[in-house]
Amino acid sequence: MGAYQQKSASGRKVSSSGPSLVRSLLPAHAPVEPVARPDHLWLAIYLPYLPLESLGHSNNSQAIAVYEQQGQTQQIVTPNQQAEKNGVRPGMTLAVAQTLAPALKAVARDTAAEKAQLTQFAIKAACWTPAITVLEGGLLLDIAGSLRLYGGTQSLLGQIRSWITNKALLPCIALMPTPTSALLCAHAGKSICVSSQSKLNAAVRTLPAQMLATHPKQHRLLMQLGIRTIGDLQRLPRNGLARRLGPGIVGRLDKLLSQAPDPQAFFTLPPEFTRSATLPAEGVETPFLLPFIERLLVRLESYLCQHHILVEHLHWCLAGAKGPLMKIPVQLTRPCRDTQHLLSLSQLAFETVQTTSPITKITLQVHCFTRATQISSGLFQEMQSDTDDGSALVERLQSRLGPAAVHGICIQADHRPEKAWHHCTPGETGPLPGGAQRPLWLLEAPRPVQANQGLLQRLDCRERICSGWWDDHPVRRDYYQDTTSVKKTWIFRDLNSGQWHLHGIF
Amino acid sequence: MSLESCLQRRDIWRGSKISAPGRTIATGFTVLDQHLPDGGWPVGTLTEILVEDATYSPLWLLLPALAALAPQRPWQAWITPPAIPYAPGLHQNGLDLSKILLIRTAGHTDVLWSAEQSLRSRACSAVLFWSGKLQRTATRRLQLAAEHGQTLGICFQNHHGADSHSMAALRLHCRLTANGVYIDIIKCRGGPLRQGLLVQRRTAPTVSVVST
Repeated sequence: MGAYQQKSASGRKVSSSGPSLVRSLLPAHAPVEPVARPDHLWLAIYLPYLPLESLGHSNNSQAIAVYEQQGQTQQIVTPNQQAEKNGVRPGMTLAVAQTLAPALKAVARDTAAEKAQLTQFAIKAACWTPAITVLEGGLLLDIAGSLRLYGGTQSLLGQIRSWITNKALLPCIALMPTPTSALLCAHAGKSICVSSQSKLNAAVRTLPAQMLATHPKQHRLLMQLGIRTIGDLQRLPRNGLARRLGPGIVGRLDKLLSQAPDPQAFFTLPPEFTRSATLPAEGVETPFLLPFIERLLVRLESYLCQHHILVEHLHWCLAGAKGPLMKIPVQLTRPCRDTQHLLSLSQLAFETVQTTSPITKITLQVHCFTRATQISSGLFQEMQSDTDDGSALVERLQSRLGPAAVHGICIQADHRPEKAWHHCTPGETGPLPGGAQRPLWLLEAPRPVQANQGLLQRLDCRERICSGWWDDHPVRRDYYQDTTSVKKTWIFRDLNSGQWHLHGIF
Repeated sequence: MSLESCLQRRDIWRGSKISAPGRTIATGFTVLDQHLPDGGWPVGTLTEILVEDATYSPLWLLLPALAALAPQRPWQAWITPPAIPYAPGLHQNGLDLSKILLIRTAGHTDVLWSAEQSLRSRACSAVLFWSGKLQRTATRRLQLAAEHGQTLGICFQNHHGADSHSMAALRLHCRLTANGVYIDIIKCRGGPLRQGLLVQRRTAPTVSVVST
């Protein structure tokens, strides 16, 4: 594949020459694709105006500059195009810039907002590739794995470029075989597309050597030694270079030229989905929330599809004019992302909700995700049974009645009858010991009974249970079965008090 | 007009033929199997069991059928039972505890809603529920849900509060005796009504144990 590149004198100049240049960087008729596809192909997106855009000053006719506090001085980070026309440059102190452009509006930099904006971009870019790195001022995407799916380099590049040029002002996009080279090219404002390793050397040779320096001292030294470009650096002996400039710069040079591995830490999804819908100002009652619920769930589903994940439980937060009203959890027994299923469960959860005042805002929050596992459907429809695994029923019941209303029961190894069983999650099994005969029903609390002569004569099968001295509920009881009367009961005499109690029914 | 020609008319139907033989599950008690249509509890319908005291519901009457039904579907729903279904006792009587879905809820509408959902879902092989007085419309809904889900629906009710216009396919009235129950079949789709069937309870071997 023929490398195509177009240079500009400096990074800033590309930006100021307008978006038409960025669009025209790659030819409309793409060259023939190489047969062998590279393992990695790094696409760097550099957003020169991100500090301005994240603060909402992207297109303004007034001169604006973002500044940063650096020690004692305030240094300009990003001037907008109007300020650049007045001669304001990055790296100037604010005082100088204000002298050059008296009408300059200075805004303090907000790195958190920049990061949030980049995260939003990364989430969107995740539909093209999962290998995304968020860097300061831009993104780095490994697109080698997605080339075939999206119809080749040119087609994928076209998609990404048309998206980012709509979202940000004058982005620089560089496609290179190594991450460092892609980043340097994008930072230098050199929109370039090189996919073969052999063309890498030629493509980076003319980049300024200053970009590999991380320290002002290294900057100065490079200037003094007369090293202007990466090509100059390559010509020098490595040992001497490492001695004079530190080993770091040699390492970076190796990574740049693909002579050393350069692993990247990929961006992972923020573990949370929060979307709100603002309702009409006067507020609505719960029955009329349905369209808003559905809209939020549709957004959730597209989010889940993009990230190949499923949701485990949701939270609906309702807020009124005076503040938050209530939180409604929706628990799922099986992870899912189907809007209709989530909608029916949410509807059930909302059925029982009564709010004191009208709702003005509804928020959907999801914190708990799991990876989607693909299940192949059966080849023959008729072989699928008409019963399901039962989790859907449990979900439905729990959505309306609450998770505490639906249980399974299992046996617990304890001699005390009231502790010999406990609630468990439906479908769970415990140990199944044998033992003496037990009734089918147990009363929630033993019911005192009058012991008369008739009762005492009928009692049978004495069983003494003395247990539980190690916790708060020690019992000393003699249990008897009353099996000859009409109502077959399980009765005990408390050995401490001598009282008779009814405890179970056979 | 002879009786034969009268029976040939399309708009005349005979009580014994109104329902096609449905799926049933053997009760495990010979007397009951003989007198219920098709020899067992009807699956896919609602059965009402009227008792004098819900706490003393004759659960043992259903245990063989519940044990036999358990492997077919994931759950057996028990909705608002009057006391704790005692796991050790149920296990000794052959029930699969992992199938039991215990649903506890306070409101009458929630009980009916849960019963309908469980009956309709096809996830339950049997649904037992203890509700207060059931209205005619409620029994109709539940009967339709049981038909849809092909589930054994059992409703225990107090015989005082029972509505005589129930739409349940089978209604039994149980009176406890010393060694079992007397059952009156007071409504039965496709079968004759009976009074005072004595169903004897099998007594388990009794063991005297001291647990410490």
